[in-house]
Amino acid sequence: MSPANRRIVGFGWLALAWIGFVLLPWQGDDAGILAFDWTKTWPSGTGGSALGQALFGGRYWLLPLALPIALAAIPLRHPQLGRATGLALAACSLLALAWLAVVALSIDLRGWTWSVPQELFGPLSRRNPGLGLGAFVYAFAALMLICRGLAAYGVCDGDFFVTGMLGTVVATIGIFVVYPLVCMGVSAFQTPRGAFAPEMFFQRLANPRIWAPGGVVLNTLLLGIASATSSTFLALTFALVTDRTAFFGRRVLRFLSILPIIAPPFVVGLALILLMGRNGAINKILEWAFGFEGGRWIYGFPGVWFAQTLSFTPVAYLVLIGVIQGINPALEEAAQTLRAGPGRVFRTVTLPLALPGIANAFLIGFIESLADFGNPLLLGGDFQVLATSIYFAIVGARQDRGVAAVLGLILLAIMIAVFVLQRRTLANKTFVTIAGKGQGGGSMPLPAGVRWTCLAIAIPWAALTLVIYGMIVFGGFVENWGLNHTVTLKHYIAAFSVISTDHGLRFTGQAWDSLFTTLKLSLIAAPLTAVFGLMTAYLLARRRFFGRTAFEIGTLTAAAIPGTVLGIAYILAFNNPPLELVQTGLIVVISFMVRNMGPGVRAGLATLAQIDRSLEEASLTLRSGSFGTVCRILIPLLRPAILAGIVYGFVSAMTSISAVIFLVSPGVMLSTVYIVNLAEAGTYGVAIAYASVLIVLMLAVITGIQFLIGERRLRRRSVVVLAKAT
Amino acid sequence: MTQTQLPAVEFRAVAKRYGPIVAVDSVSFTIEKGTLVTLLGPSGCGKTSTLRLIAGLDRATEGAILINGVDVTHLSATDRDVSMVFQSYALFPHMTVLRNVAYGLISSGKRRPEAEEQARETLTLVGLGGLEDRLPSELSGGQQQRVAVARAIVLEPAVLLFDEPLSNLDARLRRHVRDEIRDLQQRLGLTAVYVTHDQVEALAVSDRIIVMDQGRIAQQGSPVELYRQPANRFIAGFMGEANVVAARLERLGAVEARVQLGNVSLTLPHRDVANGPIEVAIRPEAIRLEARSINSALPGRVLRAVFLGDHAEYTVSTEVGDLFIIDRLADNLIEIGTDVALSFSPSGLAVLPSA
Repeated sequence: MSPANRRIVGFGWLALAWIGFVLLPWQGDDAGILAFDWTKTWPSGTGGSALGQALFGGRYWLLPLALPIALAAIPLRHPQLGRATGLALAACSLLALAWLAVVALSIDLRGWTWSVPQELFGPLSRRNPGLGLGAFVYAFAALMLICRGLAAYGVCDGDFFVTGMLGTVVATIGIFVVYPLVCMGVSAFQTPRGAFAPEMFFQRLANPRIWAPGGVVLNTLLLGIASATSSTFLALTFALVTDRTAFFGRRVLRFLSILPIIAPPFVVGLALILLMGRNGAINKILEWAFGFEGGRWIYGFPGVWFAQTLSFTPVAYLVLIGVIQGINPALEEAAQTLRAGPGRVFRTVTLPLALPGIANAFLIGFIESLADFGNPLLLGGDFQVLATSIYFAIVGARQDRGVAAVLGLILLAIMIAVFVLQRRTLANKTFVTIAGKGQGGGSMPLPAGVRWTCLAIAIPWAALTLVIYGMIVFGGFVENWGLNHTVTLKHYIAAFSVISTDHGLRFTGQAWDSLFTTLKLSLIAAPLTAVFGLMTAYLLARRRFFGRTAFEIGTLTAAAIPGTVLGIAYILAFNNPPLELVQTGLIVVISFMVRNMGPGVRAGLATLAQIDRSLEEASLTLRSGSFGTVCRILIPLLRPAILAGIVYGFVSAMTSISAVIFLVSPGVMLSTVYIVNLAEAGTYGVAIAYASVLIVLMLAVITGIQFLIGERRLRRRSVVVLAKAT
Repeated sequence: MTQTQLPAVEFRAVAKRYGPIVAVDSVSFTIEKGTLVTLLGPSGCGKTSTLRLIAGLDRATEGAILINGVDVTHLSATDRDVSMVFQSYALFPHMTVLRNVAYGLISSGKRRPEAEEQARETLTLVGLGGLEDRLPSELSGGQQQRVAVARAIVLEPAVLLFDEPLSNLDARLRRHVRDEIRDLQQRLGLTAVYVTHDQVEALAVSDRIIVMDQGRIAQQGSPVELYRQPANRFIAGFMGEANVVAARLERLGAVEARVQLGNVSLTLPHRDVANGPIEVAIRPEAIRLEARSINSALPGRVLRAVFLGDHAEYTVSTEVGDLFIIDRLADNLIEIGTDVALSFSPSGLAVLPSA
């Protein structure tokens, strides 16, 4: 790119800033940006641009926004955009952002937030809309101009493309992770009406329902330890069975390991209610055979533990199978030649080598348990964990955002502690070679005792898992579980009926609305998630810049935030101006993006590690800039990772619940939330019919994609896709 | 004409630091147009860092880098008139040979047909005509290497950079490709900078060699100068396993010095040696050994003797220390334990300041 081209790029962003200021609606409205409702009140009303509102609507405080973007033209016009002019450009654009922030934070729903502008400009109306398209465009353009200036100053070796990416990622995480968490922290110190009251924080924190024996924190930790232990133990037996015995079940287990990813996280709970609830099939059989009342044991700690163990064992299996396969067979052979019998080899070589992996699987199970929302919600009964008590603090009878915020902070703190622990475990001790099985020599067969124990545990458990998921599929075809087992299609008709009329098809089933909304938002979110994840991975793997370590910690922590915490933080941050986004499709898409970027980042890092860095350097020395290099070298080579990221982004958006349950509204209803609402209302038939349609749909998507791009290219990487929480 | 007087590359006190680690420590040199200059040194000496600084893949922490007299210190690799042959070749695996070679031309704004025509010509030049539509994975190592060279020279860069280009070839092919590169460079009059850790390779291809050690230039000069007159113990050791032993300085002249080595007295050329303790670097092939005692020779006893076909290797213990000797005229091997007499051919000896 010649210097002249670079100036054009800078002017392009400047022009965009002016468009945001002069033309586009400065404020948002309830109809959404694409409805073009804003044209009715343009230019002076709430649909007007900043300039229009300032000149014709009396909102003079918007006028200074023009000054920095007018000044920014001066350094841009300079023939050589060097260090000094770059700094000037960055300073001008920073001024623009700063004034925008001051104006935005000065106005909330009720009017001015402080007295000076109130005296200057007079009181505002009672209902003030949040920032709209114009403000977002203006802010983004200003951000890019800051990056352009900093690049000219010499940041990131003067590479604007990289600086711009860095700016985008940092700003996104700043606004949609850090800012909401700060809002959550602040509301923990506020009264429900918004007044600052630090004593409230300590009152809330000291609540005996949180800390006492039987309180939510202890419940959460106990459940986490129990579920992580049982699922790790089961997964270890599975991994040993598939890797070290001639057992045929490898494919079955591989299939089982996909299930928790394509199924909404609460379906296991739903199936358990059908099997073992008060009217559950197993309870009925017991009652019929022994006259024994099964009762409600499934509601409470045992039921949630059982459901979580079922849900997380496949995830732990994916972690452990990699570890077991990665143990170099030569080490076991060496031990054998040193006169160790099979039992001693297993005890002294195999198990110790797998130990860091086992610890990792345990911590992953613990994190999943902390973040799990659906199963405790459906099966918990009076047994509450942090994730559900946050939800009930927001939607329950005694609604208190402060309490929800405090609980959210506690959950976040526990999560980050475990996350740090996990990274420590992995950083210091990995004995496993990456390349899978080493050449030559199969691995040791298991000692007989271990083999039979593993088989005796793994086979029944696998069968049970299959039965549970089978329940979901078949349960939808039964009139009423436990009471009337007549085969019927009525649940499917209620959910998915379609009537053919003169005007074409009419989707009259009750599930269609939420299904279409979910599909639409997931399709929007999937590519954004993949791109965002890969951008982050690229910056982490390929670039050195100031604050890289902080950036790494920030992005990885952001990806580990439990959905319920993110949900409550979004409610607290985005319910009021300046950013009024709750109950819009936009915030749902953003929450999908933030929640699901983690696997995208990891898949990107794994693939980038396999691509020789000198390919990009070769392209750079061949006159291609970093933008051209990314487009022509990296994107073609990363295609499998990109596709994997998109598929994962789509599937996990379709099946996630914990964050979005806070963000939906009757207008923007999602499948998972709708199913949980059905189940909570006791309409199990339709709920299960809907859930099984989701599972089959996701299965079709995954197999379809694998078929389209062919096993040959994705076989190795599909593991990366599916390794949800590694 | 003033254009041609300017050096192709000039480093002015260039330093590169990664935090506290100094990769390149205030290095200055010039590279004349049309010459092939080798950066030679052990791993970690800063030679590859220096090459990457020329390419613009890393930026200098201090100093100035000039290419054809233009200051490019702050220009990115994309904007510098250089191209590079990578150690791993870095051929784009998803592009055919032709598209690989045309890549740089298209990036520079050439139209595709024109770029591909020029790429074809260059492929023919390196002897790969007919393989245009292959993928890199379908070529042998030597062919891949030539594609990498073709991709670099098609841009007619001011400087062509080679980063250990032979290290991925087997020993047999290495000498052949080495000669090909040298031939191509001389035929096209290219300016080239060549990084290697192999002193034989460096001696074979270079007009001039810059030996680096610990981020600094240890010595630079023509291959013959470096081999014959090493400036210090490091160079003497690195350029072909010279024996370095202590000696006594008898008389110091302007260019020659009289040196006493055991009971042998020698007159040797020297570079900037001051009065004081000295050492002598002795090439292993500059020592003759005979299995009888001679008055004016250094007596010793054979400790180790290995027969290697075209030559024999000995280690002989003497009063100045154990000496490693290569005997190219061996008819029969002298046995271990034999008393021998050592005499020296002065052209294989150099006086060094004592370290």
